[in-house]
Amino acid sequence: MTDEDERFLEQLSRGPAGLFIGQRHLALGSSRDPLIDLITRKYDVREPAARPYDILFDAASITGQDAFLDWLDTKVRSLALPEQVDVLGQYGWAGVWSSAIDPLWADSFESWWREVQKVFSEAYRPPDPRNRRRLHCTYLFGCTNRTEPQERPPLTRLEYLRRRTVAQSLSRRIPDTLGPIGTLAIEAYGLDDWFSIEDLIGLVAQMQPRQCHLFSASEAHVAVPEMSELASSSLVVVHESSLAQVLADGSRSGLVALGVPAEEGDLQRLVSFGGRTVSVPRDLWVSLSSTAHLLDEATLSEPSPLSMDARYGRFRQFLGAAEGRPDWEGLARGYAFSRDFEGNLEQRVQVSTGQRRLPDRPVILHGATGTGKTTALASLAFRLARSRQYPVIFIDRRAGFAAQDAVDRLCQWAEDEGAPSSVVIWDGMFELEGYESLARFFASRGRRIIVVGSTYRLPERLARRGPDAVLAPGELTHEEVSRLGEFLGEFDQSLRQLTRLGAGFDSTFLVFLYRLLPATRTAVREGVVRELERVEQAIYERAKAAQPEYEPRTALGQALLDAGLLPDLGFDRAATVEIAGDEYSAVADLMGLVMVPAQFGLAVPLEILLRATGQVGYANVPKLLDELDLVRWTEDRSGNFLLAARSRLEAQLIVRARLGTLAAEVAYAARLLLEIQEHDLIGSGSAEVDFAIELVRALGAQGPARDRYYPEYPAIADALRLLRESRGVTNPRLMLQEANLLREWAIKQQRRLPQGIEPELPPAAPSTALVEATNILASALELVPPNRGAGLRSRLHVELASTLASRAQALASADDADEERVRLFREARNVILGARSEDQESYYPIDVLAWATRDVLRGGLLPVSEQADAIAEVLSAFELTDPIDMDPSQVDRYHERRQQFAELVGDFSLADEAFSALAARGSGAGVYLRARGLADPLAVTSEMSSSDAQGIERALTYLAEYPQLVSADARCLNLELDLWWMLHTGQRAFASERYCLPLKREEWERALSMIRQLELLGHNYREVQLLFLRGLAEFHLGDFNGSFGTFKEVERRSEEVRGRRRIVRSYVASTSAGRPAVYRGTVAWISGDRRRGEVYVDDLRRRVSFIPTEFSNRELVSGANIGEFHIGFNFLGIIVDPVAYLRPRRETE
Amino acid sequence: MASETTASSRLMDVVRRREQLDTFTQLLLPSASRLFGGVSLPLPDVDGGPELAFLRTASWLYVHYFEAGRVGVRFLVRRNVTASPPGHGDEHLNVVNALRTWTQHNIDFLSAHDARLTEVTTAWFEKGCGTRLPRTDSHWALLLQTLLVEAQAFLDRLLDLVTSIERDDDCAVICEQWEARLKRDWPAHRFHELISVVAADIGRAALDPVAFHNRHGGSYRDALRLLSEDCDIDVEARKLVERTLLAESDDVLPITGLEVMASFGIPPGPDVGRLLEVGRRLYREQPCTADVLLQRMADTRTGAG
Repeated sequence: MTDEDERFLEQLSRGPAGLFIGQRHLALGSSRDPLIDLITRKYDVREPAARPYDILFDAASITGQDAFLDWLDTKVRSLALPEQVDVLGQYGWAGVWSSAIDPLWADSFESWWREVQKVFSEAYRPPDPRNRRRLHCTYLFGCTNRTEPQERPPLTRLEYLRRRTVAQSLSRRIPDTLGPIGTLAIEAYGLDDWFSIEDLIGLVAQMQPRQCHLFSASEAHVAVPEMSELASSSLVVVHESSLAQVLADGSRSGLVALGVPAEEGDLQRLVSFGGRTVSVPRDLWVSLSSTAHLLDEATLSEPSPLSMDARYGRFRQFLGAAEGRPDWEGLARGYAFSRDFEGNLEQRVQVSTGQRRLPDRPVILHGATGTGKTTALASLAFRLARSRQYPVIFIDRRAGFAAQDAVDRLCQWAEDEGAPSSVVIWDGMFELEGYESLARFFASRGRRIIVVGSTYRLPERLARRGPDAVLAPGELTHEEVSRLGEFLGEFDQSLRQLTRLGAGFDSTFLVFLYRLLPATRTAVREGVVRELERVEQAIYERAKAAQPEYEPRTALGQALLDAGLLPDLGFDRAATVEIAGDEYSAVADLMGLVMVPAQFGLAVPLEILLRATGQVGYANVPKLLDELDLVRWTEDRSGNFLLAARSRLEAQLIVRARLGTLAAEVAYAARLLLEIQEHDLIGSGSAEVDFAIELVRALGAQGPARDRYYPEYPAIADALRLLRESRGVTNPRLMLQEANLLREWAIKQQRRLPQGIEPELPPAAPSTALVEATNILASALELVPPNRGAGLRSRLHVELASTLASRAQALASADDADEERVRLFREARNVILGARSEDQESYYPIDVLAWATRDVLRGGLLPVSEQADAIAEVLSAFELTDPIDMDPSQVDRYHERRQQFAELVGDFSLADEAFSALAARGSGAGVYLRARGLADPLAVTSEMSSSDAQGIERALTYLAEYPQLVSADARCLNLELDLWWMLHTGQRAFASERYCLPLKREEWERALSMIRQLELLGHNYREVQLLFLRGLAEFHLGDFNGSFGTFKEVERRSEEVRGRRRIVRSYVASTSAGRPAVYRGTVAWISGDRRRGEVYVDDLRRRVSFIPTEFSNRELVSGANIGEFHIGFNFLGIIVDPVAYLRPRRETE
Repeated sequence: MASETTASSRLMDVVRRREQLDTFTQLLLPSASRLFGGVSLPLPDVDGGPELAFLRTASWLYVHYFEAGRVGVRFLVRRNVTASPPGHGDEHLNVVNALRTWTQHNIDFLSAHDARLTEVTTAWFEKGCGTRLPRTDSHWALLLQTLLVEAQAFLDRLLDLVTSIERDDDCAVICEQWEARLKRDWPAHRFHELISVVAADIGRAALDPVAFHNRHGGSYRDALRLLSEDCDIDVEARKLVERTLLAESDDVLPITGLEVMASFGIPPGPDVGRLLEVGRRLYREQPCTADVLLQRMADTRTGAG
């Protein structure tokens, strides 16, 4: 192995590597190309001297193209792939490109840990082009097993010329995919390749020196003048050996891992829980691993031993790693200092895993930046995984909620394999609501998943709400400080003294520890601690005199900031950049672009950064980053390159010290936003738009520092407007953020005005902003078709309604604006109707409806009859919303808003004239309000009193007096059904589990009639629940065909139902006496894994689903009698329910 | 049902297929090579105790697939992955490989490789006899039957693959590929001879060629597999042997990486290795004490030496 070979292997371990396979790969290790031999033998044609594969043109002209291609594909499959290519297939490449046209090479990359995605034409743009587990194999000249003209190989010279431009275009993806630190290995490339030497030179010239390595290079290669020049400028490194030899030598020397990706081990995909070890199916693994990390046996394996110096070096590296993907090896080596709160956190999780009920509340770790939350969560994940009781999944904040589906599938598989629960540790720094919604989502799927999340420090009110919030305190306790001394002493005795520094009592000390430690242990022993003490004292003096804006949280922080965080790297000669009136050097500029998002834990996709700095290629970036200890180079799980800070806290300090003003910070953010491109134009998938949304949310009203940035909201929105108008990026998700910024800013501006604070902008500006927001949202809605993206449409509608209502609010103090206010209110209300239809489980539209109506009522703007209508709408909406289905954080808001509204309309009495006016125009609002006055369904307690019953009866009688008005008004019909149901069943619908309904036949018929009436009328805002109740009624009326069909539809739409209610068997089939109906049946079918099955139920004369594990006390084979059982109903359909499941509850009654 | 046919009749069936394959390939390949050829391990006695019969059968199959027939079996199974995707055959190979290690080596549960191997073995046990830890004669008897049934199926598959080559219009081209691999695969005795010759040439005639080959033979074989057809294989093989012999006879340095790190103030990493290489070169030129060597290395590093 030569020095160059060794350097190449070293390079492989530093970044992503791509492989270019030339056309002669079938001839590797041999003197002849067997495919050419086959063609010459069959068609008796001579091998062309210039380009051997031109032989295809002559051969195809003999038999006709289709026949030739069929023959060629069959023949090529009979060949054995050279053993060298076998070896190449064992490395974890980030992408493979080839001018070869056979299917063999790409298939050889399929393995147990990797799937292959073939790319044949420019039309396909992979969303994750660098994913090592889903390897993209690009056929530059098509493949013999494809028949479409744009995907098969060229079979005439003209086709070749056309295809060559496609090949060139596809090859241009290589530099983008590999980025500036990637490596490209070229093997089996001959000068007579279809991908000509000019094409190759064009490709190489786009890359950096030493990125491209040509293997099996002959004298002929080097004799080409251009190639010789490329080699002398190191743009191509020439290796005489074959790539397979170098890789095999590297593997033997332990320099490179073959068989599995470099960063993973043999144990990948093996996961242990419930006392056994199982292998995760590859499709689940691949889809999960691009967003989350399942702590498998590879993660938990014992790290190799290290010398004391190497141990110190690894410890420092552990401390210096960027936030995000945890350093599992460092955790395994015990490099994480354990804080006291971690025990409490683990105990909470252990308690949750032991509970019987489905966990639908998350465990939250909250605290300020720099208190060690990320490390604590990673340590927790590691400890739990090491206990091998549950599958443990760790997700960092870059994943976004899109990961939840892959997590759900993985955990379902784990439960099927016998996992008692799963633990999902999501270090997302989301709002509390995000985790609550996530936990409810998993519970609604029937998953036993304990969600553990991180968030900024919660207000006392929220932290006290549940027992599952654990605080990461900002101060280290005395005991922690004492333990810290011991802990550091394990790496070098002299480090014990570090805790003597006063800053040791601040938890951020741990964040800065990396900056304190010298690069080598030798330097530690040379008295670095004494030196640090001196420096700290000096800087402490300086810090006292520093301007407050620049003052970090600790003297040590200041010391580090001034002393070393912004070293002069000699890049000052580079052009300066002007930002918000100040000039920054190229280095400072790059730092600003990275650090502004990094304050919020965000990493910037490299492509955006390069565009923002105006760099056309990757020149200098690796060098710059090599020398800059502040910016970390990371790769997400899809292989995208990102730049991040080491820690949020460090980024905050740098931003505040170097940029100083909000305007400068936002100017940097705007520069990044302006460079966003949508995924079909670039190689980084949807990562750019996701990043933009995260950044805007962080700076905006949903961010952790909402008040800090609000004066700059218009500037951020303006960047998004420019992106839309000048750069053509019209993404509805970004438009939603843009409109939200404008609305939030306008509202805050409005609120500031009455307090006597001088407006920073003319008074017209807020209302202009709101009008602009309205227009943006209207345009965004046009981009989302009604039949797709119901969730996004609903969010856009809610934002639009909020904006319209805010506009109405903004006009409150204006003269002669009543008419406009009413118009805006009506428009907002109509929009809310759309939002409610699209997402019937969301509380947000109702909240907007409530406050918009409140405002308009307070202003006394509506005629009395319309007031009644508006009030009825809000009250009905509250009635249809069950707080049980809401995130706990929304429940408070629901009750607060409902109470507020009730107080507002409490003394509202409908005069007879108004009632008549409403009736005259066909509105049932009057009837609704008066009936509700007799019986408020929300006021009825769980145990209905006789006075409640009397009230309900009176209300129903009253409703019956106005059949025409009631039948035309969904609010009345909803109220009627709810009251009737409560009166006859004793509780609200879906209030409990396995409830037996004591309804007689005529009562079921009445219920069915009311449900059908509501369904026919539309706008009932609870379509799935009504479907469920209809199916239930049909079942009890003996219409089994109808009922099973209806429940099929319920199951199809069950995704629309959130919370545990989706899987809870709310009802069991019952007799009119309210007793469970008992059925008998035999096993009709059972799956091989005994997880699903069907029972033939004699009385129903049809098959009903059952879960064999629920009948584990019986022998379950086809035809076996399973004894007596009940029939249960949930949103997933009709299911056989063991008798024992109901008995304990009844006994306790 | 697997238990209706005795283990010995199954084994005979396996032997019959092996003979067919040997004869078939002898007729097919221009060099008249046999797929397996002679195997020194005696035929296992499958009528004795089931556990011992199982262990011996696993070893016997291993010798066929991974030693005597390593080139041919690999060529047949790996050829044309598209047409015969990984399936039963590959699983059988993996299982035999894992069983051999599991039964004949001390398993280190902390080793990644061994843990995967244990997973493969125990999962196969569970499938074959209902438990991950076979303990009784009936467990072993069931596993023996399963192993033999799988071996029968696997050899059938090999027969199909050889037949498909025979029927191919381009049988000659395919056989040429097969022959090229056989040519690059040296039997142990050829290496023994070469090692003896090289050792004598460099003055180390007392070297035990078999022991030396046992240490390095695997890597030689892998390296030869990847050579190009136009290489002189004898010369390349000699280069490999000479390189190993010289590396093994190198002097032990008076310094270690720890001293390099301390003396030069550098963290662990490739630079430590490079400096040690420099030290080795300097030490070869002129053996000296640790301090002197470190000083010479420092001089060389700064360009003074």
